[in-house]
Amino acid sequence: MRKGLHSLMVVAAIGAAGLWGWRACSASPEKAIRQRLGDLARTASFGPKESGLARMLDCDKLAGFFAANAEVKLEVGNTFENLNGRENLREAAMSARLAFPSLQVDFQDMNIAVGADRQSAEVDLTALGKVPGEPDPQVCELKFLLKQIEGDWMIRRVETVKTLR
Amino acid sequence: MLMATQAQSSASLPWWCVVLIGRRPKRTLVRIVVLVSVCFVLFKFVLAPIRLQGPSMLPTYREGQIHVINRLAYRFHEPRRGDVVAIKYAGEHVMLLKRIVGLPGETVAFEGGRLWVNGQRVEEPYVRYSCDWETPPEAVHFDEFYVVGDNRSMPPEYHEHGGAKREKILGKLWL
Repeated sequence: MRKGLHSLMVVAAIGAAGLWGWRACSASPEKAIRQRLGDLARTASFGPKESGLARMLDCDKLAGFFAANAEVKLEVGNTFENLNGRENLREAAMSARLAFPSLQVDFQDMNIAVGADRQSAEVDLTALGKVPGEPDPQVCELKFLLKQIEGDWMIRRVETVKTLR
Repeated sequence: MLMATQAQSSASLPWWCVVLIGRRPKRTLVRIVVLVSVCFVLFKFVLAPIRLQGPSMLPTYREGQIHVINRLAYRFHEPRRGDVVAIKYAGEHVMLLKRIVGLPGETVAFEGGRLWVNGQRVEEPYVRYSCDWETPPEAVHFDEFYVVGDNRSMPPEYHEHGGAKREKILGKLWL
């Protein structure tokens, strides 16, 4: 009786470990998207001591998060940005790096809705951008449209959501 | 008899154990579980603590102050004019704190720095700093509330204000 119970516990432990391993290895779309957007925020951030080469590489990497025909419509404070395509995005990223000594980007409260086809997703989040010299971060709500292209979640569209109309 | 048993059990515990978990560990455990449960329910469903950042509600509410939002304030009635409310962005980690000045269906305007609702001037004792806002009359949507901060010393384009959807209003400032 005791041996049977012992075997049952071992089987349950192996089963639990297997389930945990399977869940850890097989990334759900939500998890992959969360990770991808976290990487985007880290890549968009930059410090004051970034070298010219690192700056260029980071801008290339940043553009790599977007689909070739990506559209970005941003309205932060009184600034309006309308960008189309990777090249446009790369140039904007470079301009931001030249305009500010540093920038800290953070995404909070990601609400991810994966489409029925599991190939597209819509993400609503709060974006915070902190530049030195300004006491408060710039805050805005953004809506991302992502598509899975060749195994990667690529950003197809970004637009500002007006919290106050 | 019971007292004798308790006295014996507390006498058998080392002093540091008594200091940390009390003379009756089972009762302490029950207290901890109850306290954690009450805190969880309270802060998940009833209250939301917030720390203020930014000058938009000056001088009524100052930067760095900690306040509490009552999530249940609008469970039985709709928000009212003058209420200070928390408005969500995409979630509850970052929110706006503003005052409701216009209700659904009303028309809100600022003339000479004064608030006008449906063509009537509204007194605002909480606005202490001088204001020279001039904005055209704006109709508030049926599912929105017009919100603005108390500090209108900056130009209107630098002060976030406008119609907030009802679903975005988390609750009313309580403390």
